Amino acid sequence: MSEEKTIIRKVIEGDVDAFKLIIEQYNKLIFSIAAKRVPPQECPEVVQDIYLEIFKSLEKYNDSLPFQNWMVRIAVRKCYDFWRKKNREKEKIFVSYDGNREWFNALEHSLSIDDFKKKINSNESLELVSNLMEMLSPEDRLMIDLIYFEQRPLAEVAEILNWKLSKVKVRSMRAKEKLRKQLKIMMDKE
Amino acid sequence: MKEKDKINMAEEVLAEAYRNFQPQVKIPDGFADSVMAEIKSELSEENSEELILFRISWIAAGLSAAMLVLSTFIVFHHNDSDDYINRELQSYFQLDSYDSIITDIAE
Repeated sequence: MSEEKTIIRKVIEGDVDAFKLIIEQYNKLIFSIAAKRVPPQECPEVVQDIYLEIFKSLEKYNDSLPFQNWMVRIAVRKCYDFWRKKNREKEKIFVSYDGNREWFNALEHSLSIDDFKKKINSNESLELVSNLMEMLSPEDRLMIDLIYFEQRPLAEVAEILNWKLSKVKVRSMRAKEKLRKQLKIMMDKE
Repeated sequence: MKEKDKINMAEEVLAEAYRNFQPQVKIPDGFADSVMAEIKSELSEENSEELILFRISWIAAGLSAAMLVLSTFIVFHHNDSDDYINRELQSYFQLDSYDSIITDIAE
Protein backbone atom coordinates (compact mmCIF):
# COMPACT_ATOMS: atom_id res chain seq x y z
CA MET A 1 0.00 0.00 0.00
CA SER A 2 1.38 3.45 -0.91
CA GLU A 3 2.17 5.96 1.80
CA GLU A 4 -0.72 8.13 0.65
CA LYS A 5 -3.18 5.28 0.88
CA THR A 6 -1.86 4.44 4.34
CA ILE A 7 -2.49 8.02 5.47
CA ILE A 8 -6.00 7.97 4.00
CA ARG A 9 -6.73 4.66 5.74
CA LYS A 10 -5.46 6.07 9.04
CA VAL A 11 -7.73 9.13 8.76
CA ILE A 12 -10.75 6.99 7.91
CA GLU A 13 -10.01 4.76 10.90
CA GLY A 14 -10.13 7.79 13.20
CA ASP A 15 -6.59 9.19 13.27
CA VAL A 16 -7.71 12.78 12.55
CA ASP A 17 -4.19 14.18 13.00
CA ALA A 18 -2.96 12.16 10.01
CA PHE A 19 -5.04 14.47 7.81
CA LYS A 20 -2.51 17.23 8.44
CA LEU A 21 -0.04 15.28 6.30
CA ILE A 22 -2.50 15.46 3.39
CA ILE A 23 -2.93 19.21 3.88
CA GLU A 24 0.82 19.80 3.96
CA GLN A 25 1.37 17.69 0.86
CA TYR A 26 -1.32 19.30 -1.29
CA ASN A 27 -1.55 22.82 0.13
CA LYS A 28 0.19 24.49 -2.78
CA LEU A 29 -1.93 22.73 -5.38
CA ILE A 30 -5.23 23.44 -3.62
CA PHE A 31 -4.30 27.08 -3.00
CA SER A 32 -3.34 27.57 -6.65
CA ILE A 33 -6.70 26.12 -7.78
CA ALA A 34 -8.61 28.43 -5.44
CA ALA A 35 -6.42 31.47 -6.15
CA LYS A 36 -7.25 31.22 -9.83
CA ARG A 37 -10.97 31.07 -9.19
CA VAL A 38 -11.83 33.18 -6.16
CA PRO A 39 -10.76 36.65 -4.99
CA PRO A 40 -7.39 36.56 -3.12
CA GLN A 41 -8.88 37.77 0.18
CA GLU A 42 -11.41 34.90 0.12
CA CYS A 43 -8.86 32.26 -0.81
CA PRO A 44 -7.86 30.93 2.67
CA GLU A 45 -11.50 30.51 3.73
CA VAL A 46 -12.42 28.72 0.51
CA VAL A 47 -9.38 26.46 0.84
CA GLN A 48 -10.39 25.64 4.41
CA ASP A 49 -13.86 24.67 3.15
CA ILE A 50 -12.22 22.52 0.50
CA TYR A 51 -10.22 20.62 3.12
CA LEU A 52 -13.29 20.18 5.33
CA GLU A 53 -15.13 18.71 2.36
CA ILE A 54 -12.22 16.44 1.51
CA PHE A 55 -12.07 15.26 5.12
CA LYS A 56 -15.80 14.56 5.27
CA SER A 57 -15.82 12.80 1.90
CA LEU A 58 -12.69 10.74 2.46
CA GLU A 59 -14.71 7.60 3.19
CA LYS A 60 -16.32 7.88 -0.25
CA TYR A 61 -12.97 8.11 -2.04
CA ASN A 62 -12.58 5.36 -4.59
CA ASP A 63 -9.07 4.09 -5.26
CA SER A 64 -9.76 3.80 -8.99
CA LEU A 65 -9.30 7.58 -9.41
CA PRO A 66 -5.93 9.13 -8.47
CA PHE A 67 -6.28 10.86 -5.12
CA GLN A 68 -4.97 14.16 -6.48
CA ASN A 69 -7.58 14.25 -9.27
CA TRP A 70 -10.31 13.45 -6.77
CA MET A 71 -9.20 16.34 -4.55
CA VAL A 72 -8.95 18.73 -7.50
CA ARG A 73 -12.56 17.97 -8.42
CA ILE A 74 -13.71 18.76 -4.90
CA ALA A 75 -11.65 21.96 -4.93
CA VAL A 76 -13.11 23.10 -8.25
CA ARG A 77 -16.66 22.34 -7.07
CA LYS A 78 -16.11 24.27 -3.86
CA CYS A 79 -14.93 27.33 -5.80
CA TYR A 80 -18.10 27.07 -7.84
CA ASP A 81 -20.14 26.89 -4.61
CA PHE A 82 -18.40 30.05 -3.45
CA TRP A 83 -19.75 31.99 -6.43
CA ARG A 84 -23.17 30.49 -6.03
CA LYS A 85 -23.27 31.60 -2.39
CA LYS A 86 -22.22 35.06 -3.44
CA ASN A 87 -25.44 35.25 -5.42
CA ARG A 88 -23.61 35.75 -8.63
CA GLU A 89 -26.28 33.89 -10.60
CA LYS A 90 -27.57 37.17 -11.91
CA GLU A 91 -25.49 37.67 -14.98
CA LYS A 92 -23.87 40.94 -15.87
CA ILE A 93 -25.50 42.66 -18.78
CA PHE A 94 -22.53 44.54 -20.06
CA VAL A 95 -18.82 44.69 -19.46
CA SER A 96 -17.23 48.09 -19.15
CA TYR A 97 -15.54 49.01 -22.37
CA ASP A 98 -13.57 52.09 -21.30
CA GLY A 99 -10.99 50.19 -19.28
CA ASN A 100 -9.98 48.19 -22.35
CA ARG A 101 -9.98 50.87 -25.03
CA GLU A 102 -6.28 50.51 -25.80
CA TRP A 103 -6.60 46.77 -26.10
CA PHE A 104 -9.36 47.05 -28.69
CA ASN A 105 -7.46 49.78 -30.52
CA ALA A 106 -4.50 47.43 -30.81
CA LEU A 107 -6.77 44.65 -32.03
CA GLU A 108 -8.26 46.91 -34.67
CA HIS A 109 -4.87 48.00 -35.99
CA SER A 110 -3.01 44.70 -35.85
CA LEU A 111 -2.24 42.74 -38.97
CA SER A 112 -1.43 39.43 -37.31
CA ILE A 113 -1.72 37.76 -33.91
CA ASP A 114 2.00 38.23 -33.25
CA ASP A 115 1.71 41.90 -34.09
CA PHE A 116 -1.29 42.15 -31.76
CA LYS A 117 0.53 40.41 -28.90
CA LYS A 118 3.40 42.84 -29.21
CA LYS A 119 1.09 45.82 -28.89
CA ILE A 120 -0.89 44.72 -25.85
CA ASN A 121 -0.20 44.28 -22.20
CA SER A 122 -0.89 40.76 -20.92
CA ASN A 123 -2.36 42.14 -17.68
CA GLU A 124 -4.89 44.04 -19.72
CA SER A 125 -5.86 40.84 -21.54
CA LEU A 126 -6.25 39.07 -18.23
CA GLU A 127 -8.40 41.86 -16.84
CA LEU A 128 -10.59 41.79 -19.92
CA VAL A 129 -11.05 38.04 -19.93
CA SER A 130 -11.82 38.10 -16.18
CA ASN A 131 -14.46 40.77 -16.78
CA LEU A 132 -15.95 38.78 -19.62
CA MET A 133 -16.07 35.65 -17.48
CA GLU A 134 -17.96 37.57 -14.81
CA MET A 135 -20.80 37.98 -17.26
CA LEU A 136 -21.49 34.29 -17.06
CA SER A 137 -23.41 32.42 -14.40
CA PRO A 138 -21.21 30.48 -11.92
CA GLU A 139 -21.98 27.20 -13.68
CA ASP A 140 -21.14 28.52 -17.13
CA ARG A 141 -18.06 30.23 -15.80
CA LEU A 142 -16.74 27.03 -14.28
CA MET A 143 -17.63 25.08 -17.39
CA ILE A 144 -15.83 27.51 -19.73
CA ASP A 145 -12.89 27.55 -17.35
CA LEU A 146 -12.63 23.75 -17.40
CA ILE A 147 -13.28 23.22 -21.10
CA TYR A 148 -11.57 26.09 -22.87
CA PHE A 149 -8.90 27.15 -20.42
CA GLU A 150 -7.97 23.97 -18.62
CA GLN A 151 -8.86 21.91 -21.69
CA ARG A 152 -10.41 19.07 -19.75
CA PRO A 153 -12.43 16.43 -21.61
CA LEU A 154 -16.17 17.15 -21.83
CA ALA A 155 -16.97 13.88 -20.06
CA GLU A 156 -14.88 14.92 -17.06
CA VAL A 157 -16.52 18.36 -16.99
CA ALA A 158 -19.92 16.67 -17.06
CA GLU A 159 -18.87 14.55 -14.09
CA ILE A 160 -17.55 17.52 -12.11
CA LEU A 161 -20.72 19.52 -12.70
CA ASN A 162 -22.94 16.47 -12.36
CA TRP A 163 -24.56 17.24 -15.70
CA LYS A 164 -25.34 15.12 -18.73
CA LEU A 165 -22.77 15.27 -21.50
CA SER A 166 -25.34 16.69 -23.91
CA LYS A 167 -26.09 19.53 -21.47
CA VAL A 168 -22.41 20.39 -21.22
CA LYS A 169 -22.13 20.48 -25.01
CA VAL A 170 -25.16 22.73 -25.46
CA ARG A 171 -24.38 25.10 -22.59
CA SER A 172 -20.72 25.44 -23.49
CA MET A 173 -21.68 26.40 -27.04
CA ARG A 174 -24.15 28.97 -25.73
CA ALA A 175 -21.73 30.40 -23.18
CA LYS A 176 -18.97 30.67 -25.75
CA GLU A 177 -21.39 32.35 -28.14
CA LYS A 178 -22.33 34.81 -25.44
CA LEU A 179 -18.69 35.73 -24.83
CA ARG A 180 -18.11 36.07 -28.55
CA LYS A 181 -21.16 38.31 -28.89
CA GLN A 182 -19.91 40.54 -26.08
CA LEU A 183 -16.50 40.81 -27.71
CA LYS A 184 -18.17 41.81 -30.95
CA ILE A 185 -20.20 44.50 -29.20
CA MET A 186 -17.03 45.90 -27.69
CA MET A 187 -15.23 45.80 -31.02
CA ASP A 188 -18.09 47.56 -32.77
CA LYS A 189 -17.90 50.37 -30.23
CA GLU A 190 -14.37 51.09 -31.36
CA MET B 1 -8.67 41.69 -41.72
CA LYS B 2 -12.29 40.47 -41.46
CA GLU B 3 -14.24 41.00 -38.26
CA LYS B 4 -14.55 37.25 -37.72
CA ASP B 5 -10.78 36.88 -37.86
CA LYS B 6 -10.37 39.74 -35.41
CA ILE B 7 -12.73 38.04 -32.96
CA ASN B 8 -10.86 34.76 -33.35
CA MET B 9 -7.60 36.56 -32.71
CA ALA B 10 -9.02 38.30 -29.64
CA GLU B 11 -10.35 34.98 -28.32
CA GLU B 12 -7.03 33.27 -28.79
CA VAL B 13 -5.14 36.01 -26.98
CA LEU B 14 -7.64 36.17 -24.13
CA ALA B 15 -7.64 32.39 -23.67
CA GLU B 16 -3.85 32.37 -23.63
CA ALA B 17 -3.75 35.17 -21.05
CA TYR B 18 -6.17 33.26 -18.84
CA ARG B 19 -4.32 29.96 -19.23
CA ASN B 20 -0.96 31.53 -18.45
CA PHE B 21 -2.23 33.34 -15.42
CA GLN B 22 -0.33 32.10 -12.39
CA PRO B 23 -1.77 33.76 -9.31
CA GLN B 24 0.52 34.65 -6.45
CA VAL B 25 -0.18 31.97 -3.90
CA LYS B 26 0.53 32.98 -0.35
CA ILE B 27 -0.29 30.34 2.18
CA PRO B 28 -0.89 31.91 5.60
CA ASP B 29 1.44 30.78 8.38
CA GLY B 30 0.04 27.92 10.43
CA PHE B 31 -2.70 27.33 7.86
CA ALA B 32 -2.61 23.54 8.22
CA ASP B 33 -2.97 23.86 12.00
CA SER B 34 -5.95 26.19 11.67
CA VAL B 35 -7.66 23.77 9.28
CA MET B 36 -7.01 20.90 11.69
CA ALA B 37 -8.47 22.96 14.54
CA GLU B 38 -11.58 23.63 12.43
CA ILE B 39 -11.94 19.95 11.57
CA LYS B 40 -11.62 18.96 15.23
CA SER B 41 -14.12 21.59 16.33
CA GLU B 42 -16.61 20.35 13.69
CA LEU B 43 -16.06 16.80 14.88
CA SER B 44 -16.68 17.73 18.51
CA GLU B 45 -19.80 19.65 17.46
CA GLU B 46 -21.02 16.59 15.58
CA ASN B 47 -20.26 14.41 18.59
CA SER B 48 -22.11 16.72 20.95
CA GLU B 49 -25.05 16.78 18.54
CA GLU B 50 -25.02 13.00 18.49
CA LEU B 51 -24.86 12.95 22.29
CA ILE B 52 -27.84 15.30 22.49
CA LEU B 53 -29.80 13.14 20.05
CA PHE B 54 -28.83 10.04 22.07
CA ARG B 55 -30.07 11.69 25.26
CA ILE B 56 -33.27 12.88 23.61
CA SER B 57 -33.98 9.37 22.36
CA TRP B 58 -33.42 7.96 25.87
CA ILE B 59 -35.72 10.58 27.39
CA ALA B 60 -38.36 9.77 24.75
CA ALA B 61 -38.01 6.05 25.49
CA GLY B 62 -38.31 6.74 29.23
CA LEU B 63 -41.42 8.85 28.75
CA SER B 64 -43.00 6.15 26.56
CA ALA B 65 -42.29 3.53 29.21
CA ALA B 66 -43.76 5.78 31.91
CA MET B 67 -46.86 6.37 29.80
CA LEU B 68 -47.23 2.62 29.31
CA VAL B 69 -46.96 1.96 33.05
CA LEU B 70 -49.38 4.77 33.82
CA SER B 71 -51.95 3.62 31.27
CA THR B 72 -51.67 0.02 32.52
CA PHE B 73 -52.19 1.26 36.10
CA ILE B 74 -55.23 3.29 35.04
CA VAL B 75 -56.78 0.34 33.24
CA PHE B 76 -56.22 -2.02 36.18
CA HIS B 77 -57.30 0.57 38.69
CA HIS B 78 -60.41 1.20 36.62
CA ASN B 79 -61.18 -2.55 36.61
CA ASP B 80 -60.59 -2.65 40.37
CA SER B 81 -63.01 0.28 40.82
CA ASP B 82 -65.66 -1.52 38.79
CA ASP B 83 -65.20 -4.64 40.87
CA TYR B 84 -65.42 -2.61 44.08
CA ILE B 85 -68.63 -0.89 43.01
CA ASN B 86 -70.04 -4.17 41.85
CA ARG B 87 -69.25 -5.83 45.18
CA GLU B 88 -70.72 -2.95 47.20
CA LEU B 89 -73.92 -2.89 45.17
CA GLN B 90 -74.26 -6.65 45.38
CA SER B 91 -73.96 -6.62 49.18
CA TYR B 92 -76.34 -3.67 49.55
CA PHE B 93 -79.06 -4.95 47.30
CA GLN B 94 -78.33 -8.58 48.08
CA LEU B 95 -78.08 -9.24 44.37
CA ASP B 96 -76.00 -11.67 42.39
CA SER B 97 -74.42 -9.03 40.26
CA TYR B 98 -74.46 -5.39 39.31
CA ASP B 99 -76.21 -6.35 36.08
CA SER B 100 -79.18 -7.63 38.09
CA ILE B 101 -79.87 -4.08 39.33
CA ILE B 102 -80.17 -2.91 35.77
CA THR B 103 -82.50 -5.85 35.02
CA ASP B 104 -84.58 -5.10 38.14
CA ILE B 105 -84.86 -1.44 37.31
CA ALA B 106 -85.84 -2.30 33.78
CA GLU B 107 -88.51 -4.66 35.03
